[in-house]
Amino acid sequence: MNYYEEEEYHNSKFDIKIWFKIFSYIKPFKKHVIIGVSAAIVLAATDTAYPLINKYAIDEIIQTGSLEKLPFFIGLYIILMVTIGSMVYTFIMHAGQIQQKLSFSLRKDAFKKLQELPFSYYDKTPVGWIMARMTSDSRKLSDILSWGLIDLSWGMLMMVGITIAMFILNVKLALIALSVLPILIGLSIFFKKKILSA
Amino acid sequence: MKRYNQFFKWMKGNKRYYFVASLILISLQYFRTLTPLFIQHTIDHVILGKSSNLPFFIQNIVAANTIQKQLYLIALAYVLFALMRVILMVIRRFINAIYTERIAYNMRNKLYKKLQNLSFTYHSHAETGDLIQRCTTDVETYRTFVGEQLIEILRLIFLMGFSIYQMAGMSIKMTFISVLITPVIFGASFIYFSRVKKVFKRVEEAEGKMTTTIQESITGIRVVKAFAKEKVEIDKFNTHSQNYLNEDFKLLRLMAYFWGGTDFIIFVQYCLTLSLGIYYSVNGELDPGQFLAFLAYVGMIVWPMRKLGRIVGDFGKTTVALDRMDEIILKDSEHLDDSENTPKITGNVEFDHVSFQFEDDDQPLLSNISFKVAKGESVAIVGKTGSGKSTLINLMIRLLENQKGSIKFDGIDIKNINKKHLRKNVGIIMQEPFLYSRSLYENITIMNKTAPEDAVFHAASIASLHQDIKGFEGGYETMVGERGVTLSGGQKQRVAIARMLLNDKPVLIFDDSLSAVDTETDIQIRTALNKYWKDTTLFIVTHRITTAMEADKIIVLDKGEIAEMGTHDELIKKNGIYAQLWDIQTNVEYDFMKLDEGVE
Repeated sequence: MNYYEEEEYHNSKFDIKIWFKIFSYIKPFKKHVIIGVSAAIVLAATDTAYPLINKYAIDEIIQTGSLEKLPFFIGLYIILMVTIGSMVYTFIMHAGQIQQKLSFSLRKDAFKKLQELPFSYYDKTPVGWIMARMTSDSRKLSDILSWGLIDLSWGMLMMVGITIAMFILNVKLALIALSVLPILIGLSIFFKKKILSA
Repeated sequence: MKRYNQFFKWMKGNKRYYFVASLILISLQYFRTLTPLFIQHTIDHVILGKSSNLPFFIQNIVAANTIQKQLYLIALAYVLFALMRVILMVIRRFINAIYTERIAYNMRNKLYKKLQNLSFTYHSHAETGDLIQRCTTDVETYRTFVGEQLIEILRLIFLMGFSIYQMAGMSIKMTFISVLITPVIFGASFIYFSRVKKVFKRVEEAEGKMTTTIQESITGIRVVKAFAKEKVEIDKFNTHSQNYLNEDFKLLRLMAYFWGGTDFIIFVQYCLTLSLGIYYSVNGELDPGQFLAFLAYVGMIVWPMRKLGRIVGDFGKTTVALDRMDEIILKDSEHLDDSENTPKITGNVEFDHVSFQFEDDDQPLLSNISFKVAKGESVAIVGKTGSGKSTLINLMIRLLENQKGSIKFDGIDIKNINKKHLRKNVGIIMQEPFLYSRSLYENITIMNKTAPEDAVFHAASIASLHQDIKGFEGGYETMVGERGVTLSGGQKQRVAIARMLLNDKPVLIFDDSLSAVDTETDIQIRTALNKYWKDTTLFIVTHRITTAMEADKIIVLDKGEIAEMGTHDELIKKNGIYAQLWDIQTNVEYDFMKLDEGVE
């Protein structure tokens, strides 16, 4: 008599070995990772620079009441526009290719393995279960490793850049602006736990 | 109009929720466009002593003698405002969640029900992987559309509308400048929309094909391995997988162009508003606070425009998904109650020059089949795979409809008999019977839930199943299926036989349903059956000659035609296909018997 027992997956602790294994999957796409992350860094930099350019417009042009520096401002802005447009394109192309190529190779390996497994495996494993691993799970994993990874580097760098810029401009205001941060972090941890256990 | 109906037919019964959620949403957008005015008020009015653009009722609340008091009041009003918005948002999301889940639930049920009612012909041509995708991915696409995107469209349009209204209150000229490029953003969205729709369909189809390949390969893994076709399967899968990758890449490139390109256009609009805003500020036509407010309002127009573009892009996805679902929903269901005629069926069956061919095939599957069977007789149907055995069975219960000739039960053409009635009178025991994920007892009594326990045990004994079940830890209450015990092929077949034994049917068909039990048990079951079902007309489709030999009539099918017909003795004398099969099989079994003796 065969009883099929689904393997249980718990909300497991951080395991460095698993992460090494996961990153070994992205190795063949190193080129895409480097270009994608670079685009993310440039984008984070422009996100930081953008309010500073507006500050320049107010301080140097409106406050002084002279239009002398307006052409310089417009030139600066055009550079910003071109940079953002092309970096967004690069970012999407490379993150997307990591995702697509990675899930392609995951599926390929898994399918080959499936052909090699003995009958006994199929006797106790439901087809639907295998199908889920082959389609949605391989997609989820590759999503995290591509969009997730590059999004994360963009978000973190942007936060760091903006925080630094704020402190340079005015320490007191920066502290006030950041004062809600602990509450925000606390709330998001609370809700994350709630959602995961639901 | 067709699209309109297509979109809204699924929302039925949920319009009230939609209306309330929309009202809350619209008021939220108005409140949102007030926030830049708080800043404008603070800078222009409180600090610089110029005019304020805040609505009067708020101006009255925050009015005070000193600047300090005014700042406190503004801060307080701002926080209260934010709090109110949060509460409204939570309420709206809650309502939203209720009706989207209701709609998705409704859709899945409708699709599933429809699939159950579609004809056998439909299912023999449809791919399972593709159908599963339609019931899951496509439903999800539509759910996202009604649950998030439709609401989002409303939100964006009102946000832009209120922004324009607030801007116009400060400067008509600057308002005009600030929306100058937005039609271009919209145009870009439209082009993206028309292109992504086609590409998306191709990606979906490629994914569907790939999923089907996996599904087929896994369900048929035993055949694949038996014939050592693993390499062929892997190659087939890789082709489909590669194909999917190629199509998906085209979609990605379009996406990258869209996002990168529209980002650029958006900043052109920002640049325009900023440059001219600076110019008018220096000229004195615009107050500094107003300049800042305009900067905020441009953001409330250009980003929503782009987001609208994205939704319009997804709109393409939604219409594709809806079309794909409609392909199922709008298909004609099989009409089970096609006739009033429900005559008593006793078990006399006649085939009169029956032929059958699928519409898109060029070869008939059956041609010119004629034979007669009297009530209580047993008929064995023998033949190679593809000889037309299953087609013959499917014709008898009208899963397929014969084009030529007629099939008569007690002299009445079955085309004139109510389909439901016909199927109630003809029982089929499949080669691979379907068992539900319930207890064994429930599986046996599935067609006759009120059967007394004794009868159930008796039926199980006749089917040589009782001893097996007693051997299970949970006995008759043992669960079957993915969460329970895995039955062998033979055990499944015997459950199906026991099921039939609990129902009196004048005609019974064994569709190779003893193939997985060993010869010994086979004989045992058939002896018991002959006693139990002596008044029932039996059709036995089989590969095993020993199963066929005792039948009153043996029909040998070959390439869709009757090659030989008669009793065992007659056919042996004829020295044709049957005699040949008999020779091969008895010799093989003789060898096996010798082997068995050797082991013991």
